[in-house]
Amino acid sequence: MIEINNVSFSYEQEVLKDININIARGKFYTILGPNGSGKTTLLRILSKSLHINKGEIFIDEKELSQIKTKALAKEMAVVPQCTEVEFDFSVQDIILMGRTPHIPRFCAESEKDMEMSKNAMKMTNTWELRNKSVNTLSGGEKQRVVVARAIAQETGIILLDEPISHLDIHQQIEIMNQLRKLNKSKNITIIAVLHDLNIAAAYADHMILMNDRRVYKDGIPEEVLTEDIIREVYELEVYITKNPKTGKTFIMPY
Amino acid sequence: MFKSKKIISLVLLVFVCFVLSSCRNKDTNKDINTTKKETNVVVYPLKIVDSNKRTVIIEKEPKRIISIAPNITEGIYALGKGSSLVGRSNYDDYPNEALRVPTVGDLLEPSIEKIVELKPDLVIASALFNKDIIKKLEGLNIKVIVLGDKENFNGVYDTISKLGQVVNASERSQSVITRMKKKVADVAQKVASARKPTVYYVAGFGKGGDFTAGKDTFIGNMIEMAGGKNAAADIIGWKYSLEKLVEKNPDVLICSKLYDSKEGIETAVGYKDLLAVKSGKLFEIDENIIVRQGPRLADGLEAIAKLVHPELFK
Amino acid sequence: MTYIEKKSYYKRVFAIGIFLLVIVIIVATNFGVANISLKQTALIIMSKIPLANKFFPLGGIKYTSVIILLNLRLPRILLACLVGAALSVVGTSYQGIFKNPMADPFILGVSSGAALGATISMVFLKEVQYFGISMVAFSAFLGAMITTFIVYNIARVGTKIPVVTLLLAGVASNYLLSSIISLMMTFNRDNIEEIVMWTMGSFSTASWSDVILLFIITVPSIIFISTFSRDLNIMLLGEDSARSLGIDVNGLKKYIFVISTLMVASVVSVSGIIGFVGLIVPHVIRMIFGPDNRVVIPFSALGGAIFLIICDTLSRAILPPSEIPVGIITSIFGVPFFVYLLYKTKKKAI
Repeated sequence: MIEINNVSFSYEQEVLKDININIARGKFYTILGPNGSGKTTLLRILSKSLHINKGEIFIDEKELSQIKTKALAKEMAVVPQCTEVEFDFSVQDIILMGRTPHIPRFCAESEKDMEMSKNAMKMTNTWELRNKSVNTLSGGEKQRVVVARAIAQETGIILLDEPISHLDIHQQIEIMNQLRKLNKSKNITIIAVLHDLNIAAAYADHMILMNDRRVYKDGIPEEVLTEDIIREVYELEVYITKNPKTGKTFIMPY
Repeated sequence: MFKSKKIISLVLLVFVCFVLSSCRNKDTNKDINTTKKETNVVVYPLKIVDSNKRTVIIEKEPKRIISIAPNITEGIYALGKGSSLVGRSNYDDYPNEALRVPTVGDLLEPSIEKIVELKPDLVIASALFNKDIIKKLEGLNIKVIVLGDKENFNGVYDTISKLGQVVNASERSQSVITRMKKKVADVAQKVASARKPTVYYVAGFGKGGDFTAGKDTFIGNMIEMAGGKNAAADIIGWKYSLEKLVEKNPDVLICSKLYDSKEGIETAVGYKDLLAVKSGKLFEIDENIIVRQGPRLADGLEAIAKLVHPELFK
Repeated sequence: MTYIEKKSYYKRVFAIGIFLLVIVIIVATNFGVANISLKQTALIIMSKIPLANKFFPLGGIKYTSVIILLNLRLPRILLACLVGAALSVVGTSYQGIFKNPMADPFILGVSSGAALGATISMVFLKEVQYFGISMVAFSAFLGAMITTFIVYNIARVGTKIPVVTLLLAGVASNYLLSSIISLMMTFNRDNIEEIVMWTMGSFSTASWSDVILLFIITVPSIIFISTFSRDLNIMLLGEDSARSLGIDVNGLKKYIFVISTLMVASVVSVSGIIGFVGLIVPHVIRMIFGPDNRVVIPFSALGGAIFLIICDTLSRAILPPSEIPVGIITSIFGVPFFVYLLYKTKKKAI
């Protein structure tokens, strides 16, 4: 339901070149690739933060450039990499901001908005932090808050840019499990940029591997994570096996 | 024959001695410093003490004078010596003939180059003149004299008198002074028994602040001399308050003809509610004749008196 | 606690604030060089309220006292109230849009543009009034609008307005225009005092037409900006995040800048440049009530009004009958506070 056709984007130099991807509804996608391959830029053109120079993007057959900002906000939520806030809002305030696309201009937040934000906080284990000032949180806590905000936004698609990079392994798995739950129970399409190949392999239905401004390989984890491909893209020798408990692909560099 | 020659030589000798001695007498007269007001003939070299308490010696009647003060320029023309004026300040605009004379800059810091270029015999400046510039000019061998005294009529008479000596128009200066004194006395006599209306002089208004002539200012004094009561007699200096003015609600307001003052005052906050403004008793005056300490000051006094007591000056 | 939960609390505090404003207005009106008792003040004010005046006859009060109170004091106090509210609200919204706690209403070149307009008028044009608005005020307004328009267009890239470029363009124009004003002053020594007094900001010549004009411009503008309070909150998350939450970032910036510029230009043309109000008041309000713009904007308007009335009264009170330009009073209060703010932000950054 998201079609990216022949898309290119440049600042002064080219950052994305001839991207062609199809994203199906309700699947869990991960975007991987070395630094500088264009992963974050890909997310930004999808969320309309950047305007493409060439090609088209369709969401449910509607051209992205024709979709209004507020309408897009009801379809797609974004969890960015940076989470700095200059001013002292409380955690609950930040998460309530996720409800904005659903609140008409002259109205205040409703009961439903309060409930949705509470659910989102419980899902991300941030309910206990709700009255704390967002500037007093640790990096990990801030990340969970931003994920909660995206969940509260109640959209069909969630884009995430390295959402677990500051978390310890317990928290990482918790968030990823939450995302998978949302994906399976509510059919929400997840598109996450991740660094950790193994975590990506454990959760993704589908992988998009970027290299040097292009899509290098697009498919299921088994197809994308091969020794040859990893040698080519990451310049690394790895041993590929399967996790005996989950059956998912597991990579071991040597 | 020898005896007649002797007698003739003797007579000639006596005659020559007589002539020589009378000449010597004249020289002695020249040596006496003539600074007294009573003598009507100016004798050069003239030794004169100026307003900066400097003693200046003027060798002979100056034929090329630069005046850097409007009142001095007016004085020079009033004394009939306008032809000697070769330079003036930007502000010296009266009489009309003065406008043809080249300018050397402003009152405080004129252009030294311009002054030198005009090759003056004498530069006459006001008390505001920058002392460093005086030094510079004297360093270039240009004579400078500063004239300007206390701001009152006696001060003006003194200035005109001194000016008269400097430019060799002593007699003329005395008649100017006499005429002024007469005018002042006339005004005093006319207004002596009249009721005194309260008068407020608008020196400044609006965003810059409200200014008037306080008790100790010469304009304040002139208001009293013109048969009025200075509404701002409760302050000294120039700064007033709009609220006080409205409270006083004076009978007459006087403002300058320049800068569209009258129009501005008629629409200004506070002023426009004053009784005097509403009933047409806001009058304009040529502020130059009341501010310049020169020959027109008596006319200025008369002008104020005419505004304050129009019925006495028909 | 969130905004919703505290809403009734905020409403009560706001009502107290309004009451405080009224008290401050009455006290300030009673204060001045002329001697008018509190009772007379109250009577005179009452006499102007349509229905109440029947119960409060004005017998025995001097005509001049009435004039002083109604035409001299009341307009300037009401003007201070409106100007304080306008500057504080603009300061709050700029701090939100620029995501910079140091932003104030004059950063886009409005102040120097207005000052240049006023200077040109004072030097070259006649001092006349049309419908109670002076030529100087009109020129100042034009100068402010034209400058901001130019600054805005220098920074604009298509429909986007990059905030950093806008800031820099504003700073540059402030420097350039100030130099031009200084240049004009050197060639027109006679006007120096007038120009300097104008720039220092004062309410000494406030008239009812000024009050009415500013009321018409300021009140709807403040109401307009408060309807965007939530949007301004979200702008603080960053422009990308705000956009992903459905905020029309470019549109918001455009509306806020246009309305704010209109307000600040009117304020500056009528009362000169009064600094620090737009900077301090939002921060004080945030320190008390938190950063939610739905609270900060209305309370900044109230706080700014009260603060500026107090400063104006002080400007008359310190050295009567002279007046210290109110811009100096706000700076004297503002500078120590500004330094304290800097110190606090410095500490946070470590």
